[in-house]
Amino acid sequence: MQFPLSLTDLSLWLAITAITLLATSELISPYYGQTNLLIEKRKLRKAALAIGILFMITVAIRIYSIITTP
Amino acid sequence: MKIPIKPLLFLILILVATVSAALSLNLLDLVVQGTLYSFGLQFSYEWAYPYWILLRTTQFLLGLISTVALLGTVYSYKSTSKKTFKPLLFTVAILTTTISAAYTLTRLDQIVHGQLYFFGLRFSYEWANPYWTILRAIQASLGFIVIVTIANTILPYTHYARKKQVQALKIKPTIKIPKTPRLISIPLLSVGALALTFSVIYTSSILAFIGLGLTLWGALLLYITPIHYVKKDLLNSSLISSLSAIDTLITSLDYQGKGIYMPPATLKEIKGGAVFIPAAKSTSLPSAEEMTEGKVILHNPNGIRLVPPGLELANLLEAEMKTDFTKVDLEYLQNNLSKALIEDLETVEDFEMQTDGNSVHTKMTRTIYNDLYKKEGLQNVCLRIGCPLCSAIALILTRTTGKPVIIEKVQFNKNQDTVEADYNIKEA
Repeated sequence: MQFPLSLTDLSLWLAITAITLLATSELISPYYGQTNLLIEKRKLRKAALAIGILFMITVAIRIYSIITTP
Repeated sequence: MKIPIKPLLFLILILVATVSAALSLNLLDLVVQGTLYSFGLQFSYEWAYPYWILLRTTQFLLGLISTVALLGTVYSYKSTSKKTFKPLLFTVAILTTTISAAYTLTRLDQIVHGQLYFFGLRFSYEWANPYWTILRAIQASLGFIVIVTIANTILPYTHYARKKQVQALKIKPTIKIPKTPRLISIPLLSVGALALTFSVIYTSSILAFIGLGLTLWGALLLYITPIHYVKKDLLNSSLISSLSAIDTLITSLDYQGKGIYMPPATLKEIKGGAVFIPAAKSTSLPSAEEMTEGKVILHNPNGIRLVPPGLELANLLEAEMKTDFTKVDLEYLQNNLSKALIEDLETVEDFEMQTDGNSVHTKMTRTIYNDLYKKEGLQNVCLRIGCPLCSAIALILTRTTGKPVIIEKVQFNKNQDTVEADYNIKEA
């Protein structure tokens, strides 16, 4: 028994999710007049940024492994 | 009799998915029990018995899915007149059966791709490619059943919750009532966690992706749910009475002056606020001693001292902006107030602020208090001391400049739905 996804798979998934969430949080921003959408937009943005940061971490891990591998 | 479309649509979709899965399963069986013999497979009851049992079980489970869906549709059709429609039982039954079918299918695949190699089978893409295609088609059909079932469960629940909320409020909703995201997120989280568990057990990357997606969206929906929700109608209704009381007071006393927002130096506490309405049209200010005494009726000059309607809103803005308005300047307000009003508090759709010497001009588009300007009998309050939002801005200006602020003009444009206000910063 092992988790079937590799770091590359996770990285790709995180990237797609982060882009989707960031685009959504931008499009539903109150700056575009969306003041009657009943969701916590700031929380959505935070979640999007958190997933974006997770993606960057996976990228950093991959870069590190490339550099350190002889 | 009007037949409800949604349950029938659900049934049709489920039946189509199960029939396609059953047909694909038959094709899969044809590949295993036909084509594979051309690739060296030797028949033996050792592999054939468990294979047949799993095949029949999968077929039985597909039949069970159709039966449960049919029963669920009949039940929902019969109970459409009742308010307490609970399709959760059928959902759980269909989901459990579908997951079981997916499990038996995985076991079947393990026999083909594991045991059969011990009975002479040689691997070749000639049989593997059609086999994989058929297997993925069955898995896709099962996934489709899961999605349709979850959607079919959530929709009546949200509709019912919405109806109950509207009935409880007894008023027509002007903005969308939240579609109970918790009801969506919990099934999403559960199915996602289940899919993740199965992905680890059966080392399936497809299940892992499904699990990750469902878990993420379940958690996200739970996280972004609004903590508290107040209807705009309710907000205005609760405000009108208190503003109307102030309006009656000003009108009955026949005070002619415009509201003067007093700076914090003349108040007992820094987070407090006071608006002075002089009896005459003059702008002479009461003494600091008189203001700090906390009297309502003042005599030098004659006037009335009130708590501004936007006091708490100003304090809230201060807290949201994480700043102290007494320590910032007008430029800071010009750059940051719009973000707090539009993005953080969502009180306006657009906000503009211009300063010119001692004059400040603001333009707000579609404020949440726009209805107050349309209400008869609130003109005195809205034009002299401002709506809660104009009042809050006047208070912020007086805190920032440390000088008294007068709302010179408030103009409501019905066509553009904008409120324009001119503030005059008076030299102390």
